[in-house]
Amino acid sequence: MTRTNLNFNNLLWLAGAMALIILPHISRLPIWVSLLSTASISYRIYLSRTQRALPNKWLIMLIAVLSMIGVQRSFGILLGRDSGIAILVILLGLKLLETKNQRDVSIIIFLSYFLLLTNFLYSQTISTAVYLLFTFWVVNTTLINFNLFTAAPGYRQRLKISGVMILQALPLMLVLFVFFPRVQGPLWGLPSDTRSAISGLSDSMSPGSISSLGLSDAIAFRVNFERVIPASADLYWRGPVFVHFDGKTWTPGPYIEAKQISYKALSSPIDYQIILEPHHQRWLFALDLPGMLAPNSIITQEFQLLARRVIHDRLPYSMRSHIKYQIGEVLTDRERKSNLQVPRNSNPRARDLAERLKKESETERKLINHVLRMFREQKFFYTLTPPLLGPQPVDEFLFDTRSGFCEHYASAFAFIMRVAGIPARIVTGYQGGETNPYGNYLIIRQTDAHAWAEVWLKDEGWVRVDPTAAVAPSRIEFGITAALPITEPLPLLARKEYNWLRQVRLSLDAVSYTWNQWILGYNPQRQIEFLSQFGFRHINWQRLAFMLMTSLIILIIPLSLFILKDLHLTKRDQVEQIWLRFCKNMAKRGWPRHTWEGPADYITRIQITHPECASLLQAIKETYINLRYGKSADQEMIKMFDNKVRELSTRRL
Amino acid sequence: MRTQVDLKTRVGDWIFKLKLPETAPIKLHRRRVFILPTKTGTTLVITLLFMLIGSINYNLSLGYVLTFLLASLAIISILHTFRNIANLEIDIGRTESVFVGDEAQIAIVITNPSTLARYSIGLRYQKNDPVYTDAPIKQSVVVKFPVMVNKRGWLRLERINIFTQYPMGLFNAWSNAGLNLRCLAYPKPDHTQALPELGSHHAKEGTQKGIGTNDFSGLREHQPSDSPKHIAWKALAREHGMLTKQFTGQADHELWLDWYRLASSDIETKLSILCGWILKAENNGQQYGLRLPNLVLEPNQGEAHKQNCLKALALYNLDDSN
Repeated sequence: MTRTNLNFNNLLWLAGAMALIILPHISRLPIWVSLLSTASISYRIYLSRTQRALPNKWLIMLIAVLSMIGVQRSFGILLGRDSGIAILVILLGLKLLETKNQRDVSIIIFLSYFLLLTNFLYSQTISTAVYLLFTFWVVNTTLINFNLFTAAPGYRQRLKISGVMILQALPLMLVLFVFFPRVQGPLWGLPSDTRSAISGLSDSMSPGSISSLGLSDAIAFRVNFERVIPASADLYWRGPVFVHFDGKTWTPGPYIEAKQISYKALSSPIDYQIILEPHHQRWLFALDLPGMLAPNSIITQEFQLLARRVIHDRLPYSMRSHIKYQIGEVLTDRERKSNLQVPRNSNPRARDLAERLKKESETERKLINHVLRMFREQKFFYTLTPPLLGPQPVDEFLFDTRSGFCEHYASAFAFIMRVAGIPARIVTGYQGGETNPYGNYLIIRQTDAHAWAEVWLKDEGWVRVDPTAAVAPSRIEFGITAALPITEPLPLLARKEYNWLRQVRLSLDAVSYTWNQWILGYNPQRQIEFLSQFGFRHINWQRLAFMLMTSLIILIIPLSLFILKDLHLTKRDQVEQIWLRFCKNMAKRGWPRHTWEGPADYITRIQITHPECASLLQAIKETYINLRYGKSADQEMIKMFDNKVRELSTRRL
Repeated sequence: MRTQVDLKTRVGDWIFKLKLPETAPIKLHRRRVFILPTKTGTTLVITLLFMLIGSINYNLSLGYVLTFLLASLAIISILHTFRNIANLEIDIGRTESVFVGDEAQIAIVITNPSTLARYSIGLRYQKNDPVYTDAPIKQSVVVKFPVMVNKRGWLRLERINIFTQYPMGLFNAWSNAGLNLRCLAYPKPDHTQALPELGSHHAKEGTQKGIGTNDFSGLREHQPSDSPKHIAWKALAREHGMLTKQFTGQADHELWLDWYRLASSDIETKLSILCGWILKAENNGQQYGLRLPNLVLEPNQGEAHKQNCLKALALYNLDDSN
């Protein structure tokens, strides 16, 4: 009954499993890589179906070498993260073309497991986890296929066996996950490789920068406040600060680390924790005004927090802020000069307006209010899709289109301020946020991106002025969905009318928040936190290893009993065991059974000498004879037999 | 006749406490089933190591989950592989006799007394390819695995290896069974020689009359070796004592396959020729008798007679019987 195992069906399963694993990678790989891999796999299936010979080993090796060259050119390097995955995908396909025996198959399957792992480099969301768990199940079944040499069992049964095994393995996996000593990576420097573009704030601002983010409801970060969540109007999240203006685009000044920085707190501190999604930049967000440094970060003179290294992974950090504050009491000459910088010969009409307003206003405050009143009272529109602006964007915005998003207003405002002699700068970041009632935390999405201005006033220092608050106050109070009409292209789920869908999404986000914190964020620190909740102190890796071993052993014992329970004796064997126990017990008390004695005679003999237990012995005799020689025994009768024998063993004879 | 046992097998027997020969049926209880990782299993460990390093380096929590899940699965598979083979009962099956040069199909009966279905149980004899079978719940299956036969006589299989790597191929659970399996090998038939003429006379009996089977030629004292067919019953009824009928003529119609009539001097060639003759005669539907130096089989025909003759040839001059 031997059967070659490299048959068509098994290969088809293998190809299917490989396809499932490669699928999520396709969007990240160059098309030729995916095509080559798919072609190799399909060709192998074709060869198996038509029973043709496999291609020459040297041909395959040639293709492999050519592919390496191709990868080097597509990715720039050969051994980076993404290029490595591309190589793996290609080699897996080619290896399938080379598969001749069982050993080759196991190599492919193990490489597939590894490729499965690489998916997590890009996404560790719950849905990815579910999809990959399903794929793992399929790969596992494929492995089982290759170890079955007869037709039985059917494929559905095989899937079931595979699934049951995975379920049995879950408890062990949990123990390992909790107790395995965690080491904070990376163990070696990560090779620099290309990063996929992530939408988010950029390091410059021009008309359209912020409004383009209005379409994205991707999460920028989440915030967990220790106490009450402040009012939406107070939630200004400080991000990149821009100082240089070329007439169209604002860019930051040099990032000078502030060795000493002072501020005056005018309200009590608010403590919170931010979980920042990776954006491949260095800036860290904080509620205006950040009052402390996050670990491994610096703060610039503009109170902008910058991490020392680029943020590639989700980063949680604690922060403290003061909503009311005073900064920049003294302005150095250099600061004054850079914050008054305006490009020559740009936006002349706006210039004229600024100079005129300066003459008309007695104080700086009056000037500011004048501009804001202009935005508020004249026909200015707040929209995500303003008309495009030409070479003099401030002029065109102020006088022609009069329609823009927050960056237009902030930019125009700051320009006017500068021309009028008031130092001003742009602050970008986020404003507001959505409270998730299911977890009591704040979600800030890209669509909440915002730009506002800061002006320097004598005796007051740097003061925030948000022109958007003048033209669309509901934006500040209630968020962007409140500020814009339905016709605006907001993300679907941000719209008011899909409230039930939003509720669903919020609860899902709460789940994913917990997921992020406890599963994905399970680093050495969190491990210690988690275990100390159970009273484990002084955690070091030796103790962890010990706890791991102990828990594994404690788990394996009941698992083994459960899995091996089907080896249990048949009912007849059970009955025999109980009978043997009875005989052994009697023998211990001096009444062994003679080999020629039948059970009835034996018990009768004992009954004669121990009349006090006669009735119990009679019950045992009858039950046993019934079980052994009667019709089919049922479990209840066996149980009763067992009980009677036990009862007898406790009686004194 | 015990085959030459090499040192490795001896040590193996000692470690695994195999006492030969064992009485059938054998139950593969827990104490005699052993389990060790396979080569694939050790390769998996290496893969797991790489996966773990990758997870640590990139801080992939789900990477840890996957690695640990796979490792746990491997551990669980120890239990599954073990229970796939434990408590099976192995018994000797009916093996058909073959001719030298053919493959014997050694039959083994595997019984699964438990409520768990068993899959892909492998049977291996020495270095031959393994044969796989399933063992469904509470059923017995007959498994036949081929062994090449090169010598006539009793082929004895002293140790067969029963193993399984189901379900994941990471561990190999096995037990060695020392059942007394055997197969009778008849000598290879030589079909080149034509059947001898009918009526080749006996060398041993006297030459008084040709002893045939058809024409009655008289009576003689009964000898115990006389066939009951030739007893003169009517004479016995008339109280003349036990007498044997004798026949003449038609002695020419008896086909005797006679050892002493063969020209060749080599024993095996003689046996082969006789074997070829037996098969031919049986095929023709003739009655035939066999004369060997150690025994004589009276002319007869049919399956049983053929097997008796072949067996006599197979075991000729070999010192073991059963």
